[in-house]
Amino acid sequence: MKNLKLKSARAAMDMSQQELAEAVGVSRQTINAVEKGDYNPTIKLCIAICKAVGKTLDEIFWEA
Amino acid sequence: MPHGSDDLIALILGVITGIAFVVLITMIVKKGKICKNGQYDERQLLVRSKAYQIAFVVLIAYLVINGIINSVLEIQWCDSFMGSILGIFLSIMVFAIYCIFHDAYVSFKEKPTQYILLFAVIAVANFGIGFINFDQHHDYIVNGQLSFHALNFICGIMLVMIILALLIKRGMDKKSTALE
Repeated sequence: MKNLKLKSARAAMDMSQQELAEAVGVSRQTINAVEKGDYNPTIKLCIAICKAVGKTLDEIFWEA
Repeated sequence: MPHGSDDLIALILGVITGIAFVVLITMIVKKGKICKNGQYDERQLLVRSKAYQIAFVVLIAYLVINGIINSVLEIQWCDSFMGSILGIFLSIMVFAIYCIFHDAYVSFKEKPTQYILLFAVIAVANFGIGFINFDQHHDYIVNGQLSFHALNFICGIMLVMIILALLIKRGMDKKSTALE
């Protein structure tokens, strides 16, 4: 399932996928895969992404 | 295949020289930096482990098919060393191409250009040695079997295919980045 919350949070921070990837220490393709729903990140990566976009885990990764 | 101790020594020295050449070119192209496992992110490590599994299965399948062709059908299409090496080349190619198209071949801290350049240099060297072998022995097929003399040429072809995969993937990435 696509992670549109992450995409919108990233856009709100005016970050590209590459910038977010560099901020969390992964490849751009990994961020792309997370946003498209093709890859489920580990909790460690989830936390790093949330810190980079300034949101909580619930706001980005919890399915409503 | 080499016969006698002189040929064996020449083979061993050739292998050592080849390895030293590759290491030297790698150091030059990558400016002394060697990528360690920790420079692949978690998704890339998962993809690479999947690629190793697939390459392993491909190798086993090749060995079984090759064994059936050689022993059951009694068709000696290549000498025994080439038969083994071709299986290794095939599984390496499967691993590399799978990783390339799943963005796990190149570490996220590196650029594909380094690998393209490195493989191009090694491919040219292998083609050069392959053509020298062809010139000396006048054929890669000896007694109806693909011989050891074709090893370098086939290695060059394998590297060219990996280079093509890297170039195609780079083109696809540029398009997807532009769309984003």
